Amino acid sequence: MEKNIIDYLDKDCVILGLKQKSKKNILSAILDHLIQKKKINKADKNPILKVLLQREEMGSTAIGGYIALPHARVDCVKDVLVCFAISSEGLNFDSLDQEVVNIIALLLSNQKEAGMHLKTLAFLARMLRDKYFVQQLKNAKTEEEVLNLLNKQQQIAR
Amino acid sequence: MIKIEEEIIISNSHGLHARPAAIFVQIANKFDSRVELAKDNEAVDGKSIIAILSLGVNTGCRVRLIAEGNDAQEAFTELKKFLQDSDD
Repeated sequence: MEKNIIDYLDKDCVILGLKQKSKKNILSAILDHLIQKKKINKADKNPILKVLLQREEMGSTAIGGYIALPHARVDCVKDVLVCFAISSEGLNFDSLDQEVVNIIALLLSNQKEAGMHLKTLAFLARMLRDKYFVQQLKNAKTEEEVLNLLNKQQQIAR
Repeated sequence: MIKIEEEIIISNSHGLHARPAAIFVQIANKFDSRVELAKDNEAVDGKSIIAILSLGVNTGCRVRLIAEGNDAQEAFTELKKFLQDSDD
């Protein structure tokens, strides 16, 4: 792929310690964070949330292994936006394996970026299929630590 | 023990993105046989959604479907049909 995940990501796109109890509230909190960090506009929150929840209704993106990959293609995002939310305690995200979720990698892509969307999703999966890496991410204490781990892992996953 | 292996061209219009990958794994898990999917000489566990997703299978991609076990024939037939027919 031409760009690295890390090119779409800075420490403003890393969230630690979410405590929300439902999928809707978790996604809402992630979008609020992205609004606060000026990654998305406030007016775009509800449309994005709606598309994300519609996708979740078709089948949970919490695909097992303590990971969820909620994703949507929306007009209001310029090319690709990736955000990592990490909870060491685990969140209820309606996982296919009934387990909690520790890592939520949210992917928002522009409508026009169908190819890039699937490529980025695949790349996130390449990084996160490594159980040891998931364990390290889960235990990360700071945003910088998360970014360093992601940076290292993307060299391996490429 | 039966082993079946064949190259398949993916005709699902979106490739194996998250939802079709989940359905593929759901079908694979109905069988006792070992299932693998390979692309560009990289074979992954066909019973893991994250592994299937990590291959980044687009529509038109050539993949190798492998099933091995006592119910490999049934598993292979059903998975091949899904890869070629589904348009999720």
